[in-house]
Amino acid sequence: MRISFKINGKKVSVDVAPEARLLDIIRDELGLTGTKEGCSKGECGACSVIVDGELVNSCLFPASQAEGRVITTIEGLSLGDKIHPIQKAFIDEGAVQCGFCTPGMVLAAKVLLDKKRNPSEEDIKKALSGNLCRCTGYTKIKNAVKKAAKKR
Amino acid sequence: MKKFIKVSRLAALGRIKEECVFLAGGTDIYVALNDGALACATLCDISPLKTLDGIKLKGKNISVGALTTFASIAKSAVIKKYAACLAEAAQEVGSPQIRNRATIGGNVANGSPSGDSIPALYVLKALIKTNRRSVAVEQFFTGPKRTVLKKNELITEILIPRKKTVSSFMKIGARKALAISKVSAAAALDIRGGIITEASIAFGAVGPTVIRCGKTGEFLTGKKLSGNVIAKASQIAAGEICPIDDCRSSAKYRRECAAVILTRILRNN
Amino acid sequence: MKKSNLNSVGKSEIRKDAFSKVTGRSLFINDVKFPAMLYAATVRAPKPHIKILSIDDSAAKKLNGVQGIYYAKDVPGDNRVPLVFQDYPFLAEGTAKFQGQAVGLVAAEDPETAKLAAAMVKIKYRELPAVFDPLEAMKKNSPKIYGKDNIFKKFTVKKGDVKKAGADIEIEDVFSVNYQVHAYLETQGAIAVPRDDGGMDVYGSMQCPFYVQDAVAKVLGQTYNKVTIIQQTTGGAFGGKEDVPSIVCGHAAMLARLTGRPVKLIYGREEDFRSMSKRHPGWARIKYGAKKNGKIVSCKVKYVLDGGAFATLSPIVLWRGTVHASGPYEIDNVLIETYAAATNKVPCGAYRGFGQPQIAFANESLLDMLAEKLNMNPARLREINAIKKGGTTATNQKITESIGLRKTLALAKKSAGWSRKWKKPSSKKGVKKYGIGMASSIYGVGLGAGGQHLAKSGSFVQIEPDGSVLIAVGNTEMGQGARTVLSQIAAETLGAPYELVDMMPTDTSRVPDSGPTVASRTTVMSGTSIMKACKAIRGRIDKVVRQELNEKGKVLSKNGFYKAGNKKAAYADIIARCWAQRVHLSQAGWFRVEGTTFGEKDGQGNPYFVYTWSTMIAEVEVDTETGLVEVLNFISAHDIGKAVNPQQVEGQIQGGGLQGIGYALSENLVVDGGCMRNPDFAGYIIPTAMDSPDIVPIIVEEKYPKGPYGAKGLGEPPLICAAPAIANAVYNATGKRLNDLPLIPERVKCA
Repeated sequence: MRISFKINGKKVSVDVAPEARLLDIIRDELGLTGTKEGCSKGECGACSVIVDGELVNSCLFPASQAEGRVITTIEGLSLGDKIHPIQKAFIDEGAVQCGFCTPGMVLAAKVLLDKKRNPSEEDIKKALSGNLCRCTGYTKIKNAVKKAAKKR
Repeated sequence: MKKFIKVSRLAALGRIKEECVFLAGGTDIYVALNDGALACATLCDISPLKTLDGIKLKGKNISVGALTTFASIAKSAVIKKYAACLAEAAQEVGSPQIRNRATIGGNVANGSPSGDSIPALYVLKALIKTNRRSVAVEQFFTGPKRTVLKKNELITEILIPRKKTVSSFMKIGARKALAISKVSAAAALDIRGGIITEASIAFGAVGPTVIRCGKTGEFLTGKKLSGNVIAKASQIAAGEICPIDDCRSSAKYRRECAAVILTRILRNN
Repeated sequence: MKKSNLNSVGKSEIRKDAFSKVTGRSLFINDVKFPAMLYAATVRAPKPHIKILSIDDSAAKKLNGVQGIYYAKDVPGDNRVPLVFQDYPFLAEGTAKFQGQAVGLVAAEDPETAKLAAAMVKIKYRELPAVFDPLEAMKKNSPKIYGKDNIFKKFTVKKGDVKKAGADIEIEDVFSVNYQVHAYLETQGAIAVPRDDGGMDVYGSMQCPFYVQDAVAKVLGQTYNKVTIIQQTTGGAFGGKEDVPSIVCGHAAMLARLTGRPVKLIYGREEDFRSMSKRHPGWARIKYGAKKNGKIVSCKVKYVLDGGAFATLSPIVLWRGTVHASGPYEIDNVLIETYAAATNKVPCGAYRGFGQPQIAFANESLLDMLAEKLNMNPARLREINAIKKGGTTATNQKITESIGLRKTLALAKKSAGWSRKWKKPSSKKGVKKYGIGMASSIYGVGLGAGGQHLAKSGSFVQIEPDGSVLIAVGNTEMGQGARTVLSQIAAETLGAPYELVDMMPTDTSRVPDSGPTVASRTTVMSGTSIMKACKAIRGRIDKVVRQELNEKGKVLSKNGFYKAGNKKAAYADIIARCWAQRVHLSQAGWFRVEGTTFGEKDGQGNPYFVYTWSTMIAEVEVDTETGLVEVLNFISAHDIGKAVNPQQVEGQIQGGGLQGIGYALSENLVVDGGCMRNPDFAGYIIPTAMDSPDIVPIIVEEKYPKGPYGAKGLGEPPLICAAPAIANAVYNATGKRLNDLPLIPERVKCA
């Protein structure tokens, strides 16, 4: 089936098997490998992308439902050397170790900060609750989100 | 997967010959698909049926469309006002990513005894409407992941009577997010002048289906909520459920904690 | 704040890889593809102990897109994974000893076909008698699956005589711990690409490319100089990618050789759970004897590790656990007897702490029990017995330098408000009870006497004409920050700006072997090796500096300038001068550890060259009606000699700490009858952001004079005594002593 949607500001049209996952379209068809596959079951959040302003697990998102959507992946937040304030905060606060959860985590933070200017500690924890990290213990990630919120 | 169909009108369902597995948000179906469990299935994407998405008042009922996501349910002012236990349950499903996609219709059709929305629907006395009939939620489940749904019968909406009920939901999971319930409870009480005129209690994850504790409800009817009444009610409830040992928890723990969370829900009211 | 003379070391420099990771540009192995690439899947043993009678893959082979299905008989070289006892075959031959063991490999044009074909292969088998408990396995009449007695290895440490210790009070108990799964977010994966010269290049997610080189060379029957292993950005490891990548890469390489095409092998999450290494489950009986005044005079330990079906790293894991079993205390009489036993379950291996967390749970819990018996505050008991300078360990090693144990105790106590907060369990009231608990640990940095034959580090440092610096080491970046820290050490020693220094990807054809990236050794081993290389180069630079500035005496470096006397010259200018004068601006470094010892009969000697010391304090609230434990606060203090990058050190302390908290409270792999019941993230519970306290890191710096700028090792200590700190806090809250991990709500519930 042919589907068309906007991804990172660009209009794309791809031919996909109807039962394909959005994750596979993003990674294999479009070559955007920043979105990761960690568990294939929606249990880790490494595959998180933003669809129409909401955070979703792309490993569970049917390609057949991507038609006409506006999608943002991690690649959409930077251009060359220019990066999003959230990404800068992650770098500055030491919130990155192995980097595998990072794209999903940054997007989860973006969705939060797009909706809430001044998120509380609880808001932040909840917004990140679907993104597992095994390296950092989450503390510096939360600090990065707080820092990015302050800078808006 | 053998075949993929997408329907844009409800009426089209009647013309499909193959037995379909309905696809809405995909949070259950795509797990099964990834596991290879649906190798021979015909998937039918029902997401275009936009009329099935949304919460509205319908006469004496609240209508929750089958395609309404848990994120929408959790923040709905109507649900918070008239069906608080359902909003509370919705808030605890999975994770933000899952709540943005998982639908109440999918949760009900999946029929897991630990499905968080189901105890809430029990105590709210919900009516499950399909494209063929209406079934009271208590008659809807026949066993773990088994429902009365026939071939190509699709849940279209869930009707919740709009009453002045006080209701609440609580679950115990192994962690605070992305947790399948070890035991969950919902309670809905009609209280007039301090006396309970009607009480409905249901538990999840402690039986082959969600269990409504009829005896507990009867006991609470006509009483005032006091420490003693709550304690006795919880005791009766613990005797009405049939939890098992599995890799997530033990029957003993589930039984004891069922009483604990019911006590806490009732105290909060 | 003390003013530092250092330019980069001691600063929280920005990580070298942060930008590429945060933008999603870092390429992990599954992000990479090659032309004409095939995809692999693994056929696995369906039951814990089977004799393979026949295999029917006819239907699988007929699937469109299947290139071939291969078994042990197709291995081009040696079917034994070249690790420790070499008892683990790449592919099962005749029998399989654990459910999930690799039996065959499928190569296909796409991953779905490969997976489908693997599932269609029918193994006809006869079930053999199996054993699942290590204590049972060591009994006379148990089915034998390894040697004559199912014991992979045993050790003894004997100091003094526990029978003549003269204790006034004794306390003994039995403890057990379950598996811990690494749960790295990126599963195992490799791509093998056959070269036109008959060689093989293998890319993968791994900690130890040189181990993999050995394995791929052996499985192919190929010489090392034609096998190149390139580590990709690795999405977490924690020990779980120390030895098993040899199998994953070996499999991919074998298929690449047999098909003549590049082959990608990426593990699914459930597959990774079922087949890859884990932290050993453990069992310990431990006894402390003490005088009435609290001085511990004896410690007796029997410690058993559940090794799983093949030896893999069990002998070495056991060794580290053995050496540290009695805790960081001065005890004159010690008897430690340890065993690693074989069972028909997944082989266990390295995981952060490497045999220590299991026994630390036992000894630190028992210590608190002893404190209670003595009617003493547990902090006080630790203060009385903590090893101090001049004191000796269980192996009778005299500690003469870099011992900050008491400082970690004092600072952790202060931060937690311990003296004010610690009250006996009997005083706690209510449904939700507050508790505070502590634990301490000693950690020998590096491979120690048990790994002496690997204890070396090669390095190469090169200054480019524009002043940028390239470092080459065989150690790997896996998130822990090695690339950043080693760059800082090089920058400091050379006098080069940190921004200009970087470490090249770990490619075995381009970097020297620095030994494995394990045992919290990289900063010390490769740091020292790099410093040696850099000092040699620096000596030559200094000559040019003195020449240029017409000054004698010491050359210092500050903020991108070299200074001699009152004059200074810019770094870039000096490097340009050096190049113009054909000064040799590159150098190989080599560092080996000498002098570690461990008596074969009595375990006496100096097993490690230096130790890291730690104390942790946990504050919890226990809901006694549900058994749910909330960690309110967690303080983690470590004497690491020198924090080369304080921010990264904090990140390691926090990350390791949360893994320890998960180990203590929620991570419960259910394996019954050799079958794993919850092999995914829904069933195996690691903490989410909502379950994690803000872990408070405390850095103590008791300089290690021989370490790079005083640094010791850090990677593992942040996990080691977390579980007993939590368990002691839970006891403090409830008065219910729990001797089995994890402390799931079902066990903690006491109302």
